[in-house]
Amino acid sequence: MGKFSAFSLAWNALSHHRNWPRYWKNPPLAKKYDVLIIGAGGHGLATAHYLAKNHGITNVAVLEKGWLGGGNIARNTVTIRSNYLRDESIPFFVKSVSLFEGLAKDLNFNLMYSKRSMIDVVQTYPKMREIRRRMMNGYLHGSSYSSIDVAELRRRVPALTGGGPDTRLPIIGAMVHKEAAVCRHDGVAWGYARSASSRGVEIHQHTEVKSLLRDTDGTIKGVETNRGTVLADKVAVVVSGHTTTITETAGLRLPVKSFNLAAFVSEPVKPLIDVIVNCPDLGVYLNQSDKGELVIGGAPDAGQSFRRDIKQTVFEDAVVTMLELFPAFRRLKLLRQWGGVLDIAHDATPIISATDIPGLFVSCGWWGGFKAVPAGGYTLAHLIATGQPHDLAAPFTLNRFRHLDFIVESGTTTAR
Amino acid sequence: MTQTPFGNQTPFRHQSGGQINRDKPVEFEFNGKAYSGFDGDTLASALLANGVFLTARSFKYHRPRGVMGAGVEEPSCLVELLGENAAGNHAATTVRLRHGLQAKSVNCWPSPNFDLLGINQLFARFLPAGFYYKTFMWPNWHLFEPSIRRAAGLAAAPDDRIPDQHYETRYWHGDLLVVGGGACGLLAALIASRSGARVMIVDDRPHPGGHLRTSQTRIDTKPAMEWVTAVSAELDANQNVTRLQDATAWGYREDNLLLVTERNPAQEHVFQRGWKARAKRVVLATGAIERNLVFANNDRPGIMLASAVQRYVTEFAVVPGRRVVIFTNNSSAYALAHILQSRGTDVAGIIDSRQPDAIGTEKDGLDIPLYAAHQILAAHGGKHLRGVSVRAADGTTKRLDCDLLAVSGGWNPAVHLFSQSRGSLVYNDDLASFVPDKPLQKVVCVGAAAGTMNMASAVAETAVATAASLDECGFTSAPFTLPELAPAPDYNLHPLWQVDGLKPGDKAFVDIQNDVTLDDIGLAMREGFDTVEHVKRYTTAGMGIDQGKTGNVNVIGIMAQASNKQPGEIGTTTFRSPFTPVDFGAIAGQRTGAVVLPFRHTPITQWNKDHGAVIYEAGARWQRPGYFPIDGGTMQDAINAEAEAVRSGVGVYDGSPLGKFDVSGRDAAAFIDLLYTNDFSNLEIGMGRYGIMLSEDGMILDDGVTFKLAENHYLMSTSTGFADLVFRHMEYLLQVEYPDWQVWITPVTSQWCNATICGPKARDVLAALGTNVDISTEAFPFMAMRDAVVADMPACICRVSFTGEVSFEVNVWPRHAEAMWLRIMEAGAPFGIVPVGSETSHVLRVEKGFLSLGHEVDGTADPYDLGMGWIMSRTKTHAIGRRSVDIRRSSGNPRRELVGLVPESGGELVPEGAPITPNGDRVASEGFVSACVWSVVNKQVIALGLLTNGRARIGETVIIRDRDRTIKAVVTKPCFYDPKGHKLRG
Amino acid sequence: MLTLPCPFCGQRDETEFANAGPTKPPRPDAKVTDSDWIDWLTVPVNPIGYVEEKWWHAKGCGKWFTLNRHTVTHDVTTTDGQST
Repeated sequence: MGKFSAFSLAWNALSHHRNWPRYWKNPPLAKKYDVLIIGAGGHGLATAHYLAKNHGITNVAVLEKGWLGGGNIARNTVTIRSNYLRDESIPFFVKSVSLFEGLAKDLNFNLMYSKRSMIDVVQTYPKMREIRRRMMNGYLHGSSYSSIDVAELRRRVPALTGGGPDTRLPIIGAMVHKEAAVCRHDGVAWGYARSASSRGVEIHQHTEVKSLLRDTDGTIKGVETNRGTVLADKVAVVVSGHTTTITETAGLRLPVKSFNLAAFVSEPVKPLIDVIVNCPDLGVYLNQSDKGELVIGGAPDAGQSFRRDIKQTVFEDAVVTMLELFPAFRRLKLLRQWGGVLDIAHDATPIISATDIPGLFVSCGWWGGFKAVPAGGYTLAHLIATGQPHDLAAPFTLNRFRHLDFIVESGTTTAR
Repeated sequence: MTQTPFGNQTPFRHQSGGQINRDKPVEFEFNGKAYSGFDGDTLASALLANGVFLTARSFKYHRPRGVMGAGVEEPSCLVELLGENAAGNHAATTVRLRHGLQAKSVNCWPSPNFDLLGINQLFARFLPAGFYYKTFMWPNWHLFEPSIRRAAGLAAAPDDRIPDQHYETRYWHGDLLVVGGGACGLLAALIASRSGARVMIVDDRPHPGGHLRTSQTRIDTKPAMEWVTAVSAELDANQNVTRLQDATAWGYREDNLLLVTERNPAQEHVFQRGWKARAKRVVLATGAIERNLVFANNDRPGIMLASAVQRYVTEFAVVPGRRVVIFTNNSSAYALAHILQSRGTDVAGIIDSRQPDAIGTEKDGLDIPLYAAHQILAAHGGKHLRGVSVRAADGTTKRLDCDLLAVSGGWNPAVHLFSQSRGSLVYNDDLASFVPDKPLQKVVCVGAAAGTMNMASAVAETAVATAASLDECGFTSAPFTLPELAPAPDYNLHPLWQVDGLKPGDKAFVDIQNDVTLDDIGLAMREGFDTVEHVKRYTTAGMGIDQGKTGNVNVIGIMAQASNKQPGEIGTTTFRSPFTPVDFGAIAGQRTGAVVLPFRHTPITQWNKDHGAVIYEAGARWQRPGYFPIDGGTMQDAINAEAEAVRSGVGVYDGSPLGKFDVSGRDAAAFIDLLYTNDFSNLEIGMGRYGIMLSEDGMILDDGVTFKLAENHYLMSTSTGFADLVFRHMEYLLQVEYPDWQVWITPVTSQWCNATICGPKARDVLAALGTNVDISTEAFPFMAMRDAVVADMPACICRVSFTGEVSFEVNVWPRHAEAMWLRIMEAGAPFGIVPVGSETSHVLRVEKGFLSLGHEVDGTADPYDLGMGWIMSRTKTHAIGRRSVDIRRSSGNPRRELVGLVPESGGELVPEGAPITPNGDRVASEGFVSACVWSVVNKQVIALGLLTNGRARIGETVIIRDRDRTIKAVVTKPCFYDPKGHKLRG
Repeated sequence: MLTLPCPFCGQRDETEFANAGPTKPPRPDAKVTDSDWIDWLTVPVNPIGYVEEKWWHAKGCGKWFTLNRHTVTHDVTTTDGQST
């Protein structure tokens, strides 16, 4: 792939940028591959990159029914963090954060990765207790949190003028997770795609998988698409939100349900907030993009949905709770809002797993999957290549359901 | 050159005409300079009237920019307001001119005229679309980020120095909601109102009429505005009609719910009013938005949309130029030519890219040079337009001097709301734009919004659509004579996505606001971004504050041309709400504070506050006293005093928030046995039993004491925090799974308040209050309940204990609660009674090893883990959750079990939640501290925790970690006081 | 924000109701295998299309009832197929 740098940018400027190569090739669809990845989202493309880079497996096709990176990777609020509660979860996310830190270099692509810190603004003692537990447990695994008082919070986030002592729910303290970061989400998809493609992985857009195909012995043999049959001995379903739609074509049912999650942005304004602000008691979180827009999110809608839209009550709740902390934003304007579909497992913890169908792998249940893209791809690639779960993702296999060994991250923030 | 009729007012304002109020001059400031305009002006029209054409710098290249549009479509002239209106970005075309208004340009410093970052223009070729993905990596993005963030971001955010404003919310339910107050909208509302339907009509301009305000057309042989005035008057006189002006319908949700923001309500004190309007049927008469044309330097100040010029001339009596050229690919711009000609403005030429035989009657009566089959290749001038190069089909060019270029690339039906309603769109070749196709909800589009550009056809179509909608609502529309429109030229367009003859490096803008050029789109497509969403995201076309209103369809057309496809195959990006930016305050309305977060309190809460209690927000938003500070003492001192009192004397706490449910009916007993893991079938009347409820997952859902009041009649109590959840759980089971069971559940949490007197002297206090029942241990054993009169008030006394001491829960009706509490404090005074807060309750229950749902129960513990195997009945095994518990435990995996912990170090508390790790190493935990308190009775720090195989490790020393600090603790049984329960049974 | 047809109260705003998820198959009896129990407990239907689900009129009459709702269009029909 053509190298990206200030020099190459300047050089190409001389020819009016008419000579840049394609970010990813557009080859014809072959009849057979070693591995098929269904879904060119963050996790799918990352898996393709790591299969090629870490395992030398390049006879891979990523099949995407729409446009590359058009799913949740295009819609999320870019919160990268590792402050989870359970021993089973934390190391995975710590790894993901660390992969993110080196990702621009790894992919030769500026992701505008920006370490911001995440500040949890706390208003009740039970919540403070829970976050302190995360602090102490996370420390064991290399995820840090430190406590700051309200005065220090106000100093770091001057725009946060709400939650004073005379308000309905005064802020009692705050916790800082300094590893937290944001980056340009589309860049992550394009960066992984460009790298994977340059290593020989094929990416096929507008190629919809209609059904999985099983051999007479029950093993996976490939897929049926709108462009014909494609065979492979290993197929990974990485289509968060639409996982069951695909797996059910092979008779595999999973303990996941699909939900709509929305987010919204304000008009762009001058730099105002340097950190990711999260308020678990109220269920709202926000950060400010490099362009100046505030990116704000809340809780998923209740009820299953594939609609990718706005539920007015959920949206209003996010707005009013944001205004409880930032009352001056009443005069700030909403610019755009959207929804995405994600699937959430019964215990709300992700699934990276082989399945009862030999050769079929799934990566799903990602509620807060953006931060997990690098580790998700890294560990799924390992699983596909070696047949064994990577240590970091071993707790996330479907086996945990065999004895109802849920990994309960409940009481977690809505920041995902 | 024709004599221009500019009078002695500002140079570009005509002496007469326009819809402004010349009796009310308005003074304002722009970029620090003083100007004047009139009431009725927008900031943009007033600036143009004053000859201020350079008003902005572009986002990336910092190119000089001016006003391009006249309304919400404005891509270019963003301003920041100062003073008490300083809040974010505004398009100058949407800012109503008010006396004392102060505004400044965004994105330039020190001024648009002299902008330091104008130097960016020299580096333009190094800054194509997506350039930042290719660089800024070394050494680190962090080095570049702060300056890039400062350079972006346009206006400053509002802060708390600007005065708070009053946003109101109203709701409307009705039959027909009409969006758009132009010809079609007014007509639809009129027909509907006459049928008796309940109608709302919203229009986003200050006055109704839409396009009729600026066109020369006649209705029923009279000036069109006369019809507008008459219709508006009739609508206003009808009390079934709500007509809103300056109101934007910005969101279309499910089930015909529309969101409208009224920006200038008649009521002075209301800053903005947000409406939530639910209509049986919706008519979208939202019109169309004109689009730009793509040629070199098509962004210079002085280049405007033709429809915008038309509005400035007719509405504001401003001709923003002395010599005009019109560039068009369609017939609509000729209306402007006629208007300018009638005003005596010098029009140097009409450049029409269409072939001569496509140009119809629109040109009749014009005495202006017509360049058919010609295009404008480039505009000239830097800070202001000076001329254009007109290119013939054979490539020869000719220069025309001008200072105003009116551009029309065609019209895009405003399908935003229709698309938000999840209706589908289809590409229309005649309009070269996207029009509504299949609706999903009960909505119909009419007029230009539907792609009907001929006014007479639009009117006819509107009448039919409205009648059909009314019919579906059950209204019959009265016979109606359509207004007659004067004949108008047919709308004809030939798409021109980009002009011929452009070279790489020419700055032909497709998205003006985000500085996206034709070259950028080519680059994106060459690099593999060949779907419309990719092009948008890679180039940022359409992602600005204007959301691409004038440019998006051009992007699609250009992509189609470049890839040899039809625009319909390329498709549109998703239309998202809001249609135009909306104040968050208008969305929130008056929902703040306790309206957003209602809290619960008891009749005693005020007493607690009056006595200095520190109030905590507990589960289910109950306000409970945490502790009662003592003079000169710390929080720990206060807790110790309360605990000491309860253990050696007497205390009282308000137990009212506990959930309470009256459960009765033929199958009540069976129901109780279904819910609780232990057996309730042998519970006697007048006695209570502690029970645990499991969720279907086999986790502890709730705990509490249930009393049997009579056969098939129970009073169940639950925790405070989970009462609502338990109620839902119970109703679900009864109504969905066991509909044949006869059980009634009545929530009585608010019907009973209680004061719980606890401690060795509790009985003494109860006796001092006076009661009519025998309260001795023999007559009134632990877990019994008695109806009684206490302190002359009817009460129900329950002997439950959460503290481990003798305890009488005195339940009374809420209207007696405060009186009872005061009587208790009075009667208890000689015994040293103290009020007890939740911190102390916590200490007391930890000493006893009683479970707390927020501490030991963290979503992973089952009753066996907590040492409560006795509560899992061996004979009655069908209770909810039992099977799941068994499955979980069948894995044989080690479990974390409830233990006591006594830290070896002296009096320092261990943080609750601290992990216990093997050897104290920094590895995955083997347990955690669930609670840690100073025990007054034991004079030491005690703790509870969950520890892997804890029960087999009693006596062992384990190591707790708070980050780098390690604390050794001995594992004990999880009870530090009266393990056999003698005290509470006393 | 939908309006939903409560069997007692008629068409009311969605905000008055709690969505309790897809209708579960009947509770298995004690004799089912662990694996079947786990499926009943954790594996829901997740259609792109109509899902039969349970709703509770929590801020109204308290009735639990069943509706079919399309998971994309959010069209709601009662279980006898009537559009609402």
